[in-house]
Amino acid sequence: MRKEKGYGLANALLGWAEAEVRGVMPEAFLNECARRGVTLLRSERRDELTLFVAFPLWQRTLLEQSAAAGGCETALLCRGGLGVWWRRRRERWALFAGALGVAVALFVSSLFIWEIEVTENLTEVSDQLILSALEDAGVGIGSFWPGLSIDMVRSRALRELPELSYLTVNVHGSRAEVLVRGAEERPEIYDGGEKMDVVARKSGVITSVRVLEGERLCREGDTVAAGEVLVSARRGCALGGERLVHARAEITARTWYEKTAAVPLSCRVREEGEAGRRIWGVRAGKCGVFFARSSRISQLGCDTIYSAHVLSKKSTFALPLALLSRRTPTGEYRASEWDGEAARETAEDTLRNWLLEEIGGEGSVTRLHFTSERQGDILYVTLRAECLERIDGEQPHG
Amino acid sequence: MRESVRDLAERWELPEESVSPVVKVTLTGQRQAMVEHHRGLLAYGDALVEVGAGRGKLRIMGSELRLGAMDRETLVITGRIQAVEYA
Repeated sequence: MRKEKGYGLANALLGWAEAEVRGVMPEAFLNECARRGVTLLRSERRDELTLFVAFPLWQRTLLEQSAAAGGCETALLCRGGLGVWWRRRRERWALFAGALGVAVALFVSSLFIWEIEVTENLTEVSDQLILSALEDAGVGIGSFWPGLSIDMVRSRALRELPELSYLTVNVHGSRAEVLVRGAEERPEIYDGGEKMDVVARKSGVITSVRVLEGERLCREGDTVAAGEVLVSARRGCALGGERLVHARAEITARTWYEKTAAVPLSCRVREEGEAGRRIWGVRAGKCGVFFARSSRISQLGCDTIYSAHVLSKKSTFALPLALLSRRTPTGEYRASEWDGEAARETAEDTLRNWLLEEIGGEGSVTRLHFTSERQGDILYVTLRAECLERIDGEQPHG
Repeated sequence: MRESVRDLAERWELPEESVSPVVKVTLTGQRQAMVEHHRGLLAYGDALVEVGAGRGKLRIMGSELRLGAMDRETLVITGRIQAVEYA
């Protein structure tokens, strides 16, 4: 569009024109313009016979009539404005229709979710589980997000994932960002009115007893079995008779553990081969297609690696289009021996971690011993440990 | 008749241009002159603009004179106005 020459926004929209008026008396032309109500945006005397004028384009006919009445001739120099610009480009209507169509398609596409990402997931629940729960709750690829109730989605998803304490979905255009927080362990609630006995959670030899409430039934040095009552809720009163209480005690004992882990010493390893056949495809919305013959037939017993690249700009928008690829690596499997020493160390680490989890943070390991024995292709590693830990637990009286 | 109209305007303290169509010139500084109740443009140039003013004509002299706006009753001259006289 020609640069606006300062004739105002209204004339830029309605159109303006510039012309030269030649005649013996250009003043007569000006008087005729005034009589007919022609608005002159600009007028300059060029010489004795010539006048330069600018006027609104829609008054062109009136101007020519004024010139004729004043005995002058007009010569149009140039035109401008939105209408003129459109008339010059109207043959390219397909271009404008296409641009308008793309704009409408982008707007409609932005009402659906085409990319979902789980961010800041520090919980033990995997992203895939979270996405699966969200899909059951109605949030997935292709979901119409204006119709979603985030509160309903949250309550449904948290019901399926009790390990989470909080979940929310933030939608930015076509991208959905999922934020989660893990559930914290609930503290034990002590009910003083409940009638509870203190029992042994594990078998062992008692090393210390500290009774806070209840009737003591054990002593240091006693060997107790798991489930045996150590402190009873029934206790005698100073005035005679008995009453039932919520027994409490801190009882420490020596405990013993023995556990065996079996580790295979041979395994199958895929040799490094060619990258394998890769085929490409496109996914539009929820429907995807690969461009290869027999692409629907998956090869049994083979590894297949899928990847999808959504056309999107991070934190801005995502289109309902994704480039898909599927790769099947080549290379044969072959038997491989695992180093015995490495296998033994791995098994010992695993057993040690298991033991620490069993005795908890307050317990301690006083003695620890590993033995290993190989039988064929299997290495058996046995842990034997003596620990010092609290064994008191509660169960309802009676 | 015109004398009686003028006398009437004076007696009733009315603005004269409201009772008879006399030419009225309003100067805004040295840059703009608005002429009301004119009788048409007689000459238009960079240094001189002549406007019909009933029995005579009104001359506006200066430099870079331009016709800013014009209709049947009013016209506006912009530019460097140096003198306005009746002839």
